[in-house]
Amino acid sequence: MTDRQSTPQDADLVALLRARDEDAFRILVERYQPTLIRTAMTYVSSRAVAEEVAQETWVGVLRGIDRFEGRSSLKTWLFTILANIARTKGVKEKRSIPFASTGTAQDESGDWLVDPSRLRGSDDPKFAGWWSSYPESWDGAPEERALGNETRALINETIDKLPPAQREVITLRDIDGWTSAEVCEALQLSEANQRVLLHRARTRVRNVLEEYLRVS
Amino acid sequence: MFPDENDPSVDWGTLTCADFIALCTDYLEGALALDDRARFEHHITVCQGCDRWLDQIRVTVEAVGGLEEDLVPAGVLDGLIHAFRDWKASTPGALEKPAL
Repeated sequence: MTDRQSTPQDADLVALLRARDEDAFRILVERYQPTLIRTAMTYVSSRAVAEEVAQETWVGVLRGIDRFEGRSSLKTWLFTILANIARTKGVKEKRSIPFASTGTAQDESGDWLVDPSRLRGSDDPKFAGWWSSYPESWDGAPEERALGNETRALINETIDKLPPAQREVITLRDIDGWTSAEVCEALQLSEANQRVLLHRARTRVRNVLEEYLRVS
Repeated sequence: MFPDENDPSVDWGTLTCADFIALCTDYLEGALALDDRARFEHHITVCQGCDRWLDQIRVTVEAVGGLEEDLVPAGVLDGLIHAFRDWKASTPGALEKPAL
């Protein structure tokens, strides 16, 4: 079939799982469990409940695998099962739907993505909306500071504090490496909304990094 | 390398820095129409602040991408493997194992 040395594809693992192959199941759990837990966190209020939802999702996978026809991707199917289980656990308040445009400088919680005082106002008609002072370069930050454990912890913490929909999108896209099409399908977002959420999430992480690298 | 803002010969283009910041993700996602893309790229050539901003967004994406996934705790994995074995014992499943 495919290159034996390469990472097995989802479709191959699904076929093996249908044949009751334990290793295939193990690989799938290792591949998707962290993502399932993080996604479950956007539905329920505690990590313990999210872990329960993720575990029950796998039980749902086993129960349904013989009927899974592969019309949607495995990822999408996993998310559908997870959403159904999460709903039975008492879902948090409805997720907010983002505005359809990235053109706003404020996000859904009213926070500025860029401090407006950093941009020139209408008193400078030629350059209104341009920087009043440039963002500082990060080149001066020591390499270990930019890539070290402390920075990683800070980024993790920032992502954890993002509004749920932003957190979900940046996690799937930038940590898990999903394509935008996969994220849109799994989370039932339009391409435009997905980009808005990704934009806000990335900009917020950037802003936290800026604060951190500036004090170095 | 970047023009002086008092230089009258400079074409500053049609985007403000606020526009540029708002469009970064659309640009990186390849979602800008061709003429918007050209306006965006022109702005980079005249604004050091935005050149730097876009670069920092790229660094951010890389840094986020460098985060590692948590490993599944052994206890959780064991529990799921048990569930798998129970399921396997109670359902017939496909007879033939496909070749991988």
